[in-house]
Amino acid sequence: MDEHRPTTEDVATLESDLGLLAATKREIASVVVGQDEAIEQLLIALISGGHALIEGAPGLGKTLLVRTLANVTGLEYSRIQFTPDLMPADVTGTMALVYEDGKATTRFQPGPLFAQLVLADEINRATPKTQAALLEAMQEHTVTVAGTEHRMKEPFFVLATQNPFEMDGTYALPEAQIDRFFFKIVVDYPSESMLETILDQTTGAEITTGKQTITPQDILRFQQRVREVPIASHVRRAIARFVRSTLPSEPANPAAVREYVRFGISPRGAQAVVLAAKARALLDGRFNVSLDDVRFAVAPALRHRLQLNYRGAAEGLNVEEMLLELFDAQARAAIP
Amino acid sequence: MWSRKVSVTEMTTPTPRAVERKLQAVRARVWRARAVRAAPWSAVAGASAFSFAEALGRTTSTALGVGALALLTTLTVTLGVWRLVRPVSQAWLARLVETRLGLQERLSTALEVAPQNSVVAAALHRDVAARATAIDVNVVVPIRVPRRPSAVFLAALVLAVVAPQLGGWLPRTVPAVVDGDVGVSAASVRSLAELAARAAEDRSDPHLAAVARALRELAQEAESRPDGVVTDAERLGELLTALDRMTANGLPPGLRPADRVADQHTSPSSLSETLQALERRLAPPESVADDEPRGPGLTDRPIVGSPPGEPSAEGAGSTNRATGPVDGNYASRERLQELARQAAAERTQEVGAAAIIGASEDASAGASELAGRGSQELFGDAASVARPGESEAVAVQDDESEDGRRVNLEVAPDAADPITPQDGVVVVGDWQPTPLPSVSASHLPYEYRHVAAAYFLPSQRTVER
Repeated sequence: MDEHRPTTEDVATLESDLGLLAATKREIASVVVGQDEAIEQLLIALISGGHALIEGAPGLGKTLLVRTLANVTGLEYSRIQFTPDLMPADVTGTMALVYEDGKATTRFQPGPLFAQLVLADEINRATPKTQAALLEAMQEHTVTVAGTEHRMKEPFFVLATQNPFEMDGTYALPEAQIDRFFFKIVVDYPSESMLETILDQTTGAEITTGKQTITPQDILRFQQRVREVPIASHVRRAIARFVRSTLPSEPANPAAVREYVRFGISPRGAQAVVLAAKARALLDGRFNVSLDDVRFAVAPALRHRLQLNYRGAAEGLNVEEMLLELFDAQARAAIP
Repeated sequence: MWSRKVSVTEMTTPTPRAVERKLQAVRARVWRARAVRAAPWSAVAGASAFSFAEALGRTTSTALGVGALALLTTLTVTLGVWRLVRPVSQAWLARLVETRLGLQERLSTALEVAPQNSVVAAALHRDVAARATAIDVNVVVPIRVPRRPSAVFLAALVLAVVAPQLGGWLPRTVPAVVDGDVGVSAASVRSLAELAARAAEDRSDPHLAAVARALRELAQEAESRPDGVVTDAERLGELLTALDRMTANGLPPGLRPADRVADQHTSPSSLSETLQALERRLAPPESVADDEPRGPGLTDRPIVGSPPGEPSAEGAGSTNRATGPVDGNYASRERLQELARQAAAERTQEVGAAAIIGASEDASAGASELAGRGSQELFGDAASVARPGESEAVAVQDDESEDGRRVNLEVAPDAADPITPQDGVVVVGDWQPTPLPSVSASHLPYEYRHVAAAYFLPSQRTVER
């Protein structure tokens, strides 16, 4: 047993890992200016082992963000531009007829999904059939073609983008699929000063693309470390109570929840919150989950999981505000 | 720094100790802060209890004791309730510290996770150990005296100081007046009951009659006992107190039941003396004129009285004459002086409740300053007038002087003085001052009171002092 106990060297390695994470964040931020929150959320999703759905207007740097992430992490990068005529085989790959030594034989030809960092650009433009092709890969990290299961190379990370404005000719992601995304990251417009920096950096002679700061092996180690981060019982209890407070079927829950929410947060959503909070703690240089970490994780982890009913949608309720309000109520109760 | 491989147990050994020491200090500080917050309210309770005890007539030392007890009880109860409502557990303390110092759940997490669990847990313990030394308990739990309770406290303090000065703002209770172990014979209670019944009949006083009935019942109950002793001391005390109130102004302090209780029964007088005093007060006037033994110095012959066969001179109060017996039925001056000397020789007694002594309405009392003014409440405000036909033996005048209230006595005109009939009114000589010097009101010789009470009390209404 003793040989498995952590040593001072292990702790030093962990501290050095935190340094690497901080350096990665800085490196991405040097390329993608003014999107610190989105960068942090992206890194959290990465080291938590979850996939992310990035939503934002065109031209806000979604693709740049993903490409920069690929550069600094050294992950194999692949981009799939989703279109209405994209077929599932175009994503997963197919059995191709090849001639080897004069003999015709079939061999699996991997699709663009077989990469470590897959950018599914404008995912809502493809048909549900093609969108569903991503499901197995995202959940199981495997692809089955012609009865043969093909394992993805780890770490495997899908980043999908969607444009919230152009809804014509799109296929909204079904709840089952949208729940597979660990985070929904909203890329917002940069501030005026940030916009100046962006203009300065991107229109000059020298364009920065970001240097590699970590390796895929580092990411795997981080993913293991994230799960080791301890969480205090009162924080865990606050999360559980918060998740329960989103259920419209509970008579004791707030009237707004009972009136406007269609589906509350599932246990998978709660798991996402905890994992994200753990990852955020490490990213922040801490070794435990705080209530602030949880609060930070609530919006990106749950904003796409809480479904409003028609009345809620008609009232124009802000899901994030509702979630934060519900969480704050539980967090306040946890403070002596 | 990390060149040597050290087991995590060794590495994190200081962590729990440092954290626990700090949490112990915080715990002590929390209780101190709670005590400070509860102190003003406890002081309010203590001051209120003190005021209340003072208002109830308790001695200052007793009131102080009651106040201190109330203070401590309130403090203990408040802290006890606090402990139940908000128990100070280690986890609670950890959360308090990390909330106040922005430690972001580090302490509470470290308390729940063993450092051996993982590398992250080990790193957390190391981090917490480093931060624990910087925890300032004074910052975590600042001790402040709450402003609002302080105002209440001041108000209560003022009340505690002022309340005793107000005097009697609360009704004073009259506790039991007889010790439980004081045995009184059924015969004496019955005797007192009969006297009370007669007095009630004379005065047509239903309240007194009720007391007499109750005394009779008590006596009857005692008579049924083999030892013939009254055992219900509390009831007897209540009845004696009632009797004392109804026939007030007769009992001197020390004989009054309530006073006897107040001085913890240290009064030299006994319960039987109280009973005797009440009997004397209830006794009808003729009993003094009878052959029954009376107090020392009293003569068998009435000292004063209307001359037989002579109608009293009603309506002659305006004349400066005294109605008096033509057959020299007055006590002689020598006799009165002898009485006065005897009285002066007696040990003066505390006679807080003044006897009612004075000239009758129709008296023409010579030089008496009290002539025609009737009987006066020596210490009260009310005055009652003696019935016409009654004569005076002693007139009393009291006045305020620098050294307190003093009493001057005058005696009736000597029967040996010339008597000059004038329009049917017998004019006797002037009233004479007694050889006694002016005495303090509370030291009026008992005999004078006795004389006055024996002859005038039944004919006059008394007012409770």
